[in-house]
Amino acid sequence: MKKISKEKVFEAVKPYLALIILILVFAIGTKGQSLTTKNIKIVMEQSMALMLASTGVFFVMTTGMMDLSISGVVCVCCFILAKIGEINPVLGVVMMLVTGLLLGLFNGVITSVLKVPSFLATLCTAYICTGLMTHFIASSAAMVPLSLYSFNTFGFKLPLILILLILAAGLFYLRPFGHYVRMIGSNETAAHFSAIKVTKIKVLCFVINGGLAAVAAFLIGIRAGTAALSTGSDLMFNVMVALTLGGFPFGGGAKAKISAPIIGSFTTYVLSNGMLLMGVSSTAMSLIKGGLFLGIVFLTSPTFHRLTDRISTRKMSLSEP
Amino acid sequence: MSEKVLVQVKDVYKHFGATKAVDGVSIEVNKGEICGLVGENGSGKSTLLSLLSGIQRRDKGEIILEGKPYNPKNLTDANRHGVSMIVQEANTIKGLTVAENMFLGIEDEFTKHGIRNIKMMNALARKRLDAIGLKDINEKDDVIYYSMEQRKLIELVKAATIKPKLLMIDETSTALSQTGRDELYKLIRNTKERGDSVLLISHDLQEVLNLCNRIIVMRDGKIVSEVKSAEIDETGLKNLMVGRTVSGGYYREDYDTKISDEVVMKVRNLKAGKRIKDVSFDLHKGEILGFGGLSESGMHELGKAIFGIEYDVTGSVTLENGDEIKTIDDSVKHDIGYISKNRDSESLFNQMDINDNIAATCLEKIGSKGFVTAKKRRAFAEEQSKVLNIKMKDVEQLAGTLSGGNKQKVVLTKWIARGTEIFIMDSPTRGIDVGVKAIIYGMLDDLRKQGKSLIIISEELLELIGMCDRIIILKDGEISGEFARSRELGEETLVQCMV
Repeated sequence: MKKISKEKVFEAVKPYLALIILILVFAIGTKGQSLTTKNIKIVMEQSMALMLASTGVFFVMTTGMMDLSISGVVCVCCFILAKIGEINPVLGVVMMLVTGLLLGLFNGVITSVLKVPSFLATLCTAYICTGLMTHFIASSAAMVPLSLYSFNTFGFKLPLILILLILAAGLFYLRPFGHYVRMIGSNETAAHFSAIKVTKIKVLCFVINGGLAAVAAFLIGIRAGTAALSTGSDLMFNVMVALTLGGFPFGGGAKAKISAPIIGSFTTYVLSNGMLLMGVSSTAMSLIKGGLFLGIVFLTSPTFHRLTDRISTRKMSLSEP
Repeated sequence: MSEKVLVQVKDVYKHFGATKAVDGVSIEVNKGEICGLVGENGSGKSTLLSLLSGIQRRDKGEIILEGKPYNPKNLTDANRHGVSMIVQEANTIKGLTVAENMFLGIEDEFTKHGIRNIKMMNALARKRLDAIGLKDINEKDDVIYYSMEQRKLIELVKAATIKPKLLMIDETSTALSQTGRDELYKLIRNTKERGDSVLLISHDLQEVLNLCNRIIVMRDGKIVSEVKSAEIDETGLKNLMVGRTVSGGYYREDYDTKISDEVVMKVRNLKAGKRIKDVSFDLHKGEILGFGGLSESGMHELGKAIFGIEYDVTGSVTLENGDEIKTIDDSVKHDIGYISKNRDSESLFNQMDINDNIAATCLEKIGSKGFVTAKKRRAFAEEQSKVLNIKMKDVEQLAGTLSGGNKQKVVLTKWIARGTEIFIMDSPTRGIDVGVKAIIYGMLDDLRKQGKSLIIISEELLELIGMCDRIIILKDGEISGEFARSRELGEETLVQCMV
């Protein structure tokens, strides 16, 4: 039937819709400035950290859980990188990864084993992280070891991102683990009754999120050079915007595609970059981002679908004999 | 509208999403008539009654009561118009007295200046109870002290109290003993003698033939036929209900199959939660063991307890090789499958493909070296779905868009695909239309012949009688009877154990 294939086409195209529209809008608005190789490269570099963070949150959200602690986790990881990196840069990187994974484990255990609602639990984790950082960083920032700056090249970062994203995609689409994640998001009870290890998988998703957040922290740290209280502070909101622009189905994890966080992250920076090039003030930028976010969430929400369904069934019933 | 027609249902529709419960129904009930309404489960009879009683609103069509449009907002509103209904489930409210239940919704008649005259209410309740001969029931007691049967009788009194123009009875007789049924029949006849009408739904075709002048047969949401009870017999009715000649090809046809001595599963002293108190039984290889009882008997919880879903379970579930089953993981690893009563909330991933649903328990098996590609899943699902001939566009269709019957086929396929040996099924054909039911019964019979063992938990007595080698009846969490497969086994025998 036509209806099904139309939906399938829409699903496949969804992550790219916002991207294509925005590229066009800004190409016109900036009179082509946004399409220079230099600019495209900048946007790509900026979106790398976000891509990793969004992919991590993607795994968690596909199971139906939320993770609002990303900003805090990134901040703590970056701090560890800096402080321990003072002693030894390699140790700093290792401890940063360990911290990310442990914080992920912490989130996982509290939400999935102790069954504290994830919205609250991860918010608390964020708060704990902020609290810790306020204590340790005090007023001054910690410096990321200079030797690590040499990694801040496109030549290093691009392959790193590609490998991680390919691994994530492989895990999601090719291994049973990925299927289980989507099944848990679709119907946790049915998954449980099918002997899927729901708790274990949920915890693993949080751990993966923690790990990816740590790598994101690395990228942010070597670019910014310091770990401050503000490090990663806008990450949480950006992840949400990225997932929204990428067409992530907030209503149910079954239809989740990994292209959502990846393309969505890129789109987010196309948006920011475009607005910057057009001279939009930072206040206006926040307003536009927020408004766009709200608008798209509504358009993809079940409420909207019900509204359009009601309109079309009314049309149907009017035409019945 | 002619003088003798009480209520006219004109071209009424009621859909629940994709399910067409009532699909263009037009009937008339005359004054002073006892009209029977029969059909298989899922035929739409209960929905039709709920539309007449105000429990549900119709999507399209008209209902005309005594010449005026009838749009009841709820049951009490329907009562005000002279339409009352008695249902199968317990409909009295615990915590209220007998008298309070009897006059539920019409308390205004006893209220003056905001104060309820309880003395008057009780006196009237007493009068009504005596009129029926229910001297054992004290109108001032909380209904909780009375048995299910007595509570049903109180409901009967309630229904009779308002001297309804249309009395609707939805399968109430199943839960009643003979004395209860006699009271019910008395009520029905009195209603007719007054010149009022009765609309009776019952699975007991003999009862319907005895009481009713006219019988309406429904199937798949539509009216199939209207017959005069004098002109048809039980077999004739059955044929109309199912839509083809029922010569026994519906349920199992064999009667003297010997059950194997091999015990595949031993359940001992199972106690779970509040509902299951002490259940022990053996399940044999190639056996279909049925469990019946009232909804609260604990039978639904039994299935979950055996499979490992319930938490505070004591007692033991042991397999042939001595392994004990405690968790869902144990069950699935030992090739035990569970098919839930609530397909949509507990068995299906409605937003995912049929593919994904069928492969849900087998993902590790399908892949090679731990990698499962979409192509492999698709091939696997396509192969498996041929077994039950699932009606779908292709395996990539979303499970949520399938009909109830096809959804159940998907669930069944999921477990068959895994090589399940022991199936625990709760209400396997609930809400499924007749045609698909027959297919599923055929499948269950095939599984049995292949040496698989099945536990069927069902509220449909005919299904248990037709399909099982043995039927165990549960009452209040304990076994109250066991019956062997036999041509002579009838519903009444089972019901006596249940109540």
